[in-house]
Amino acid sequence: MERESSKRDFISEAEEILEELTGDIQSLETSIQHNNVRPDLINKIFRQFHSMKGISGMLGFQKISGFTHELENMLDNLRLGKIAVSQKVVDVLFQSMDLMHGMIAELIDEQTDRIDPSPVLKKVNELIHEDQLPAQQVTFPELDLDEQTLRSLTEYEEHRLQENVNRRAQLYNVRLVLDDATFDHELREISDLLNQHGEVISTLPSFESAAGPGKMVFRLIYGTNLTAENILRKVERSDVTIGNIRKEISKTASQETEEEQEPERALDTSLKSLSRTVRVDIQKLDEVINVIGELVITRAMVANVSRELMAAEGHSRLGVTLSRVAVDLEKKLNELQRNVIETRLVPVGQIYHKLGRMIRKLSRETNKQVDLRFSGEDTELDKIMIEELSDPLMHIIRNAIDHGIENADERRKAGKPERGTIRLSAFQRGNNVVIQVHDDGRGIQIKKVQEQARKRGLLPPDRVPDEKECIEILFSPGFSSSDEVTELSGRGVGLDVVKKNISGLKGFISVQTQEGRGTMFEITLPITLAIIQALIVRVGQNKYAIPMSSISETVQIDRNDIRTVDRKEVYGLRDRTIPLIRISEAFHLPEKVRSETPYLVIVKVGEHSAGLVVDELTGQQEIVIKSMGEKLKNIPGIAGATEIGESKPVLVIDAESMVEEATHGRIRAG
Amino acid sequence: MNGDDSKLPVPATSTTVRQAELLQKLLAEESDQEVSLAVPVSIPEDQMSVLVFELGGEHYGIDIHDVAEIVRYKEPAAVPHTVDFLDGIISVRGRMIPVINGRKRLGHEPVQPDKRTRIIVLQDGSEFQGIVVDATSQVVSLFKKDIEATPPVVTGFKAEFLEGVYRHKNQLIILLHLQRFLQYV
Repeated sequence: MERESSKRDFISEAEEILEELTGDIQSLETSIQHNNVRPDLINKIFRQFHSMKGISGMLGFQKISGFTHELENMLDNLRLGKIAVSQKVVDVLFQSMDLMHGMIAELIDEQTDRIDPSPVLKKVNELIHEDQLPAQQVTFPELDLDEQTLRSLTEYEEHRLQENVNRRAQLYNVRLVLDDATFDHELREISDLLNQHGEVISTLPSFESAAGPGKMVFRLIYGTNLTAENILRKVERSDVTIGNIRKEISKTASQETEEEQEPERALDTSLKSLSRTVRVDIQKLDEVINVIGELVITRAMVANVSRELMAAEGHSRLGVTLSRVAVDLEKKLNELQRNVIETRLVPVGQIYHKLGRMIRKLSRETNKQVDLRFSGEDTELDKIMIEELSDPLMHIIRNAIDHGIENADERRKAGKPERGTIRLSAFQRGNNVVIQVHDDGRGIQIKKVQEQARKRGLLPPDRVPDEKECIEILFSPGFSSSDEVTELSGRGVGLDVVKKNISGLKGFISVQTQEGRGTMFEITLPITLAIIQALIVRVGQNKYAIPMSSISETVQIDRNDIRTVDRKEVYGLRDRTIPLIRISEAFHLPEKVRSETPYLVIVKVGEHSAGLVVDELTGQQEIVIKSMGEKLKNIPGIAGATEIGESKPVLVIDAESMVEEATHGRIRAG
Repeated sequence: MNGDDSKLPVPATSTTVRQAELLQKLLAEESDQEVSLAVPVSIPEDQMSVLVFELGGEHYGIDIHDVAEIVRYKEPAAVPHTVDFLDGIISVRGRMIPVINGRKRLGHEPVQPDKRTRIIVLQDGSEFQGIVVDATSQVVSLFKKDIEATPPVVTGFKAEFLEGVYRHKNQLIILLHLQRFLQYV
């Protein structure tokens, strides 16, 4: 049993390593094509094979440890420059990956004879023995390095030093005086910084006492194309001194200036083609988007002026020109806006990887076998949202594994495959991105939910809620359906927090479940938060903006078709009777005349629909939601304010919170 | 004893940018009125500069350091579920600013805004707040020691808003305790 569990641990860990290795080998392949292989990449691959060898050896999986040992050997030769980095190497590495996946599958099925590694091993040996590069001399006559230092270099460091000498990089002795207490952190920081512009070949502690008590001295041997002054400027520290360790100053003054301008060029000839991306602080993008937001408003003003001009003067030449300009401006602005927003978008796949790791860990902890299926990883969402989304998604998945997926026995009895499946899919639907988490577990047990809700006082004892209400209850604060608190789910945070997070992103969440078959959580989000589509409505003298993301449809009705239930207004929309909310009442507006044919803005909140009663729909517009300051932050039913090109700002209605106020009370009151 | 006796010998170049802008605005918008230009940048400890505005025929003063700008009246958009003296929000260069009505805040009858009506925009860190006033009139420099205690004619909640009074020429300037004046939830 002990062995079983350590085997499971090994498999999941090995799968993680292999997953990462695949990515790294792919990058190695591209970097070979671009002729800019970075030593740290080879090092990383080496280390991964090394740990693979370590863990498989420890558990006695000799077939895997023996195989990885040979590969590690090859990679060691590779990083020491004894074998050239070539496509041949990459091919062998990819074949090894397949082989290792196979060997792990063997392990799962308790077999040992399906996979024969010898053909690949033969290639590995060929590489080690036949593609050996001529041995390089390891003295450095051109360097000002003392015997002691040279002796303390490892074989690998020697090789890197040689490489840098061959490449005619500048070599420096960088002396750092660091504080005892913080040296590890500072050393890493400085090394990272230096590695961006060159290569820290060796880090040597020094035992100088001159630096004084509480200080430590390090010497870095550093290869780069920067000048000493440039290094100092980059490091921006006073406790750093730099000495050149190349004896000959072979460079002419003109070369020196050329390198000043393009310090990285010689280091890496293909860097130019690769570095076509720019890292930008998301805040800067926000600023740009804000300005665009203002421009959108200005555009609306121009359009208004042109309309007024045409109304006042008929189709005068100026009026027509202005309206054409306004249309043109709109097109260009839309294009600009789309482009800028696109720069903020990142693929959903980014969180998939994170979630994948978590699912493997969870399934190990719960002893449940779970397969993971992803789709739509290319679907793009705003960077900020991706970040905000990972917690709610983790929570939903945790619930799915903890409460949804049954253990193997139970699944077998239910006639399901022993391994459970969680499917994560993302796709675009109109202006929204939809993310679904689907599990094939036992589904939400409505009965259990009811019991629990009664226990928690969320439901009066005599009331039997329907399925929809039960699902609604899942999202109420203080509800947790697990009988015993488990390590996984018993963290005091429930789906109410998930729901809050999602509404914070101007999105909403819904659930479909079928007992015995599984559950699907569906999260719908706007693609970006920066600029949203809104419907502008008029209620009496006031205009309001309602985000399109919360609107499912609009209908014009006859006021005589409005009925009441317990003096609350309702309307029969197709086969459903939905509650009506008068914005004028919700906001205590003086209401003089009620429209004979008002419009209903149908909003959907989770499982509920409700109709907001408005006098007129005045159009659809892109808006930027702005805060009204600390004091007016938490007004129910209001998300903020915006400008639509008129003299007054308009309030943005938070339809969800407005409807919630109306429907929640009803459910609780029974 | 009064502050108007002491002309402060401060060169014009040392006026802070913000105050200079403010004064320009005052001059431009209130060109029919006399505006004091004596706004020193580094006001000595024992002195202060006060923006004077009118509410219901009385003159009120607030420390000019709290003032971000003064704008012509524009109609605010009403905000529900809040205090009755909050007229709503206005937008000043894209920023949403809640605006309270100075008259209502003091318990006076509100009046129809006219061409002298202004909104004083106050800034406290990153928070902004507007006050609708009947008019802004001038900036006055005074010695703090010349501020008198509020005469005991004001009682109730309004007494809390008042810091003291200051006699300027033949005007009585009522100094507001801004923090309390602006406090509401």
